[in-house]
Amino acid sequence: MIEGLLGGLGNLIDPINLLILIAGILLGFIGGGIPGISGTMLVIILLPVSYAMDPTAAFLLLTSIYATSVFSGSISAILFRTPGTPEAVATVFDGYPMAQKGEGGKALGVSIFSSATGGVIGTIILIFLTPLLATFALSFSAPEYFALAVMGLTVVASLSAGNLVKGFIGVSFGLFIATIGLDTMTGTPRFTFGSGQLMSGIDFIPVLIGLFAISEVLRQVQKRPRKTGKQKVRTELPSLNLMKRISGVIGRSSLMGVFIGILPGIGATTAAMLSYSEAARWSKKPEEFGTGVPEGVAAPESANNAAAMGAMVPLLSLGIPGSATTAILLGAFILHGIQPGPLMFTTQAPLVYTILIGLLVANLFILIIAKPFISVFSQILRVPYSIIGPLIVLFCIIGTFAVRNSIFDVGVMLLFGLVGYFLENAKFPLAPIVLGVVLGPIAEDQFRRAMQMANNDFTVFFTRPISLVLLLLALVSILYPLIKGWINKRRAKLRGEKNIAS
Amino acid sequence: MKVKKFSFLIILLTIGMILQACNSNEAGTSNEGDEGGSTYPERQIEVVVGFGAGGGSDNFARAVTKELQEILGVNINVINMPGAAGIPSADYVARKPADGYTIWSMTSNHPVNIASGSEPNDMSVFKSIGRVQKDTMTLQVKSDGKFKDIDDLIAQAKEKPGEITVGGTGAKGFDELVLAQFEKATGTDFNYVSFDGSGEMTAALLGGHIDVIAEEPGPSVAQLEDGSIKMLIAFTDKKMEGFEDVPISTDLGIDVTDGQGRGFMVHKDTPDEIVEVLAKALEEAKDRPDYKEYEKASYLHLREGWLPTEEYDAELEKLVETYKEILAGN
Repeated sequence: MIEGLLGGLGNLIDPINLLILIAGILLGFIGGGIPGISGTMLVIILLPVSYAMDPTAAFLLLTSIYATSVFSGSISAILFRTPGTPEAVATVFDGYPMAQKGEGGKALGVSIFSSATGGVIGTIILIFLTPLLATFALSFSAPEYFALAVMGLTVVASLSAGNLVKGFIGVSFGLFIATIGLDTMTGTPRFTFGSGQLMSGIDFIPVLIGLFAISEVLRQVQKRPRKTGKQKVRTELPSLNLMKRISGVIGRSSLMGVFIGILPGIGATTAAMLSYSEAARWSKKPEEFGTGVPEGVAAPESANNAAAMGAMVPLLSLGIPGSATTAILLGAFILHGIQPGPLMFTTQAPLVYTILIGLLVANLFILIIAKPFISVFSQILRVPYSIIGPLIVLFCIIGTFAVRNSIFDVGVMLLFGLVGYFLENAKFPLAPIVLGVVLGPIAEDQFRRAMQMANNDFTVFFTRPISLVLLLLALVSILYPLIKGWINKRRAKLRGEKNIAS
Repeated sequence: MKVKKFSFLIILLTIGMILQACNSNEAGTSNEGDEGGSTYPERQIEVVVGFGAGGGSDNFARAVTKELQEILGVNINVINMPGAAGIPSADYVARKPADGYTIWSMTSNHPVNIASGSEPNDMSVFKSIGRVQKDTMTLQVKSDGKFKDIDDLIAQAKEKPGEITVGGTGAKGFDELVLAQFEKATGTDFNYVSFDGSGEMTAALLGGHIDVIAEEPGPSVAQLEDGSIKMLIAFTDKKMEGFEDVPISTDLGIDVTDGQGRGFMVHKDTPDEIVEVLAKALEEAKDRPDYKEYEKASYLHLREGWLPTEEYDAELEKLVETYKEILAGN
């Protein structure tokens, strides 16, 4: 393996490959940074270009775009509340409040540091543990996926900004949106009202972009216009103290991200969402999440980069894509005449190791070139909002359209812009809606698939160890605040009795 | 302050107008095929795929268009419109001008959708340019699993009706209909479990969560080659090159040879000259070496796929009837 890696490094140093790798990294940065252009889309756009290259160069280009775009989506998420890529949606929750508090530079620094760390941890796990993890991923099936989604949904309390009822309404609304369209198990149309467009359901990307980006533009235009940009953003990498403070979150979120990324059909967006919720759940001050804490940026950013690498595990070892982008990479491999799978590490060893080393370098590059890149990017903040605002709307429209080439989706996005605007005016937290929209389809599909597999026997969720443990964890986390409250009351009472007695 | 309220109102209005525009685009059905075939094509062509990038249908469209671009000498864009088994993508193509600049890359899900009544754009809306591929449906199991061969599977299925789980992609889609044909021919009853994509399904088989998958050889070729998955039966009437040991349905007296077809279609009103130009280019594209290599790597070369316009249209009409019968029997 070490020889393989050294060989890969040797291939990488080849001037043309190096040039292509750097081009890929830069393209990924720019594409991810521009709202509306996701890494997935860039990979699709460059697919025809890659036909003309030899496989090594082609896959260095495609995979480095994939790795860096996941990071740079956080830039506009933090500065403009507009997730540059869907993976950055959870970064909005705390990144944007930080920027509003004047800590935009700090948030960007945390994002750079967490993304690079998460990406590197993910790549190292990918390099050394791929065969082992592939086997582990296979032990997960529908019941486990469902349990995982339930666990994610139970965190709604921590995302409700103190108003549990509104939180539940929000998450239910999100789950409802997720049910629209053709029923995936029986093909029955649900809530489509005869509309052909609604049959394919409401995609979560237009909903997210609308809720956060468009609603924010609406709010900004009501404010007093500024002559020039509000603040200068200077990216500062986290201080040693801060690094210490967030290192636990980064470590946990990276590992969680890798594991979720490995599971086929669950991508980096879900990983970012879940690790944000878990970070909030296990935090000592969960109520601070959503108000602009660095942990809230570190968790999703480390998780999404780690998950992006994790998704490569089943692709390379089983020929099974772990996410939307890796599905396109699988197609690219096939069109290049290469079949990813168990035999790939032997038949295509030089290519595989070059890709792995390329991914490592791409993730490290985030640390090096993110700062100058962002300093150029944040010049945009000096432009008056009367120009930026319309541009954001424009990019949101282009980006939403490009996801499924659907003008209907653009309408959905604008509609949810209004919904988001009025909900926030009514002090409704938006995060629970996102939770419902992202996890709803997973929870529903997998629940029903599990039931199909078990001939409608409910016990399937409790007789399988992994699913049982996950569901118990979910139960404990719901009951924990209640139990804690009860214990505290008991203690206070006991203390009170003691006081009286003495 | 008044000014700000005013500008906010204007933005609201604009959004309202765009929303309105989104609703009213349904009016744009245009059938004018006024461009002559002699100069066609003179600008770029759109190929619309009803499934996501990276899947079998997308790979097909991209591999063919790569050749078509060179033959026709114009740029061809592949556009993905995933969702609802391809119905929205059909709808999109049906609304575009019938001038040959918008091509629908379709699959056997189209006749299935028509038969089940979920596809309003039926055979009267499209005209095929030709079918390029006919894939081979197979039943696959884990090599070290509980089924020795196809007889063993059928015997166990008869013993425990409805208990053996068979995975397939999509609900009421092509995979489920082939399984239904197999059930009818053998007098068995399986528990069909639908998956979103073949990746997740193959993983479920490898992890031992389902017993059988209904799948073409291509998506699981990595596992077929390293021996962790084996094919029990192939629904075809010709031995498969490279898999000579796998029993074929007609040898076993099971008359099911249905396979996933993939081809190109255009709006019915497209002038014949244009369809001819496209058909000729398509026939040439499928014989080019790069395309052949891709077909071979994905085991799509096992059956002759080419069916020209009229024959494929007739075949599709027949398939719709067959599927209607099966669906009515369920």
